[in-house]
Amino acid sequence: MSREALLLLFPAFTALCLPLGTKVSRLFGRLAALASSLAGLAYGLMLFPGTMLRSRPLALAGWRLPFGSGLFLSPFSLAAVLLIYGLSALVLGMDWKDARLASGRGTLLLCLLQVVALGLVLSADLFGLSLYLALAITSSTALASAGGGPSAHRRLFGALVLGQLCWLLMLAGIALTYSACGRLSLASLARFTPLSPGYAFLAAFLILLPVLLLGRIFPFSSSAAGPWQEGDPREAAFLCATLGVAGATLLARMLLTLMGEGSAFGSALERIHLLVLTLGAATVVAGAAAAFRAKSLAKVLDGSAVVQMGMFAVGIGAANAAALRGALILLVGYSAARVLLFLAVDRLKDPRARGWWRELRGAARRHPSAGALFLAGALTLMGVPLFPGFWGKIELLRGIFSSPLPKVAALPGGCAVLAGAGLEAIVMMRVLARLYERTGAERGSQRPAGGISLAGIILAAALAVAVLLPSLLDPWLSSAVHELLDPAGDYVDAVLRMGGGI
Amino acid sequence: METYLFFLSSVCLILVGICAALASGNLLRVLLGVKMAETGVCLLLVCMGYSPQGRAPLLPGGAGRPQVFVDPLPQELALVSMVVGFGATALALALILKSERRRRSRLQGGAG
Repeated sequence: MSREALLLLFPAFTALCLPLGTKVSRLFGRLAALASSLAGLAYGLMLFPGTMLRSRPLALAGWRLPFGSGLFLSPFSLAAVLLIYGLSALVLGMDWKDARLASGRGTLLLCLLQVVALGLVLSADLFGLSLYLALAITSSTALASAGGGPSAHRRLFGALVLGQLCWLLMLAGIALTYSACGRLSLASLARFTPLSPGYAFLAAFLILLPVLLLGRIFPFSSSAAGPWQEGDPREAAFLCATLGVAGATLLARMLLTLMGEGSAFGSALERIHLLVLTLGAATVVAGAAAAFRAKSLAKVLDGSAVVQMGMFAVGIGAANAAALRGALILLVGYSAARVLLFLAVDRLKDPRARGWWRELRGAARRHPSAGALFLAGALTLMGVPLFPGFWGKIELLRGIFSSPLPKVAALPGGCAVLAGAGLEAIVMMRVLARLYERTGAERGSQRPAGGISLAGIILAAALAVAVLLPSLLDPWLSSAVHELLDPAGDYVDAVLRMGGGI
Repeated sequence: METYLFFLSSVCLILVGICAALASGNLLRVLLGVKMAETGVCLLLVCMGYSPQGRAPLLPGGAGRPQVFVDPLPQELALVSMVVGFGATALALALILKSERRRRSRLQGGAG
């Protein structure tokens, strides 16, 4: 077994130790989950310089794919692993005392979600991916049903059924692919004689369905919302940190590596990219409209997350270097911003109130650190100049308008991104204005001039990171774009050199 | 001929299952529809590796001559997907149970 496979195994070991550990101390689960996330982050950072130079497949069980669990370590997948571990550690480091998930069983579920997200990011065969997807659907529903109220169960049942149906259709797509190619490894399929266009499009569409569901791309943007909206904001933050990142990564891997030029699905390439670009544009509009209409702050943030995912899908669908670069900057920026926003909401909201954003008048003034976190996250999502959202959107628009796809498809995509960004900025400004509004009691009093507060430090740090982000990310962005867009790139070559699996 | 028959049966099962899951308002019937679609998908997977003259992929002791085997990989895939489907079914049943308990308690509260 490769040592690097530990990246997937840290949370699995924690889950195995949990039943015994919780007998010793009630705190064991949370501390062990936090420690495993930090260990994964540290180990991933150690592997990063070497992986930037050379991608490599990892054998987990010593068997050829798909009998063993084959993993693949590349700059793109390792960055996603680091993002998952880093953001999970941030969420797990928060105070969970009053949450239902503070129990051992709750932590077990969080560890399972981490394993599933890491498996989705690292897995190198189609059937392994389908299993991780099924587990993702089941475990996210279980997480929401553990934390959600009693009225949520019927809605969660609907989300579970939808997820199961999509997964079954993906299995049907895998069966069609296997019968035509006799292969299931992503690398083998990425370099295979193209199937007939109609057959390739049908199989690709069926395979992509649960990926679209996990990424919450239109038409699943609202129907799959159950697990994301029903629970506690901390659970939503954890879902964003794990499955949110994994869904976006998987969409890019599937669309650009598995279904790229020269692959078994290469004959339907343009149609698949057009479909994803159109669905991405529809997702941006649907998410922005949902965020604009929403009364609950959790739903506003959820709609905003859908908008960002739609923009990412548009960038992937446009399939050129500039658009992909923009999409990757957006992925890093909005993954962190969403987690910050949900964590800030957890602090800002009044537990006795309904959670409507209009009720939060002056909340950011009462909790300045949480307010600063919210402000930093909102500015990133809005795409204010100097923040990652701004660089990402600029690159994305440049890429969309220079896309090789027909202008009739690229133009609405670009317009949807612009309109979505504008609408999202309005929504976020509206919420921010409410959060920082002065209440009647405050108006009469003079605020004392203080020193440097924690809130100020958070904002300054966020601004410094945001300004430096594009230059910090530049070496990684170049290798990730090269890895995803080059059909004869590292990914396929490295896996095929090791035998490629079945 | 047999392969086509299996293929058609699996497509029919999948379609009927999906229609039942989407059209019914009864949660148990919805779940049964999903299970029917799952059976159809498993049949489709097995049918992809089926060979009319093929035998089970087992090597009996002493049999040295080459034989035609059915492809074991789709069978393994079907088996694993059944196990995963079992977990999802358990969760769905738990959600139905909780939803039903809540409905009953609301009805009793209304009657009281």
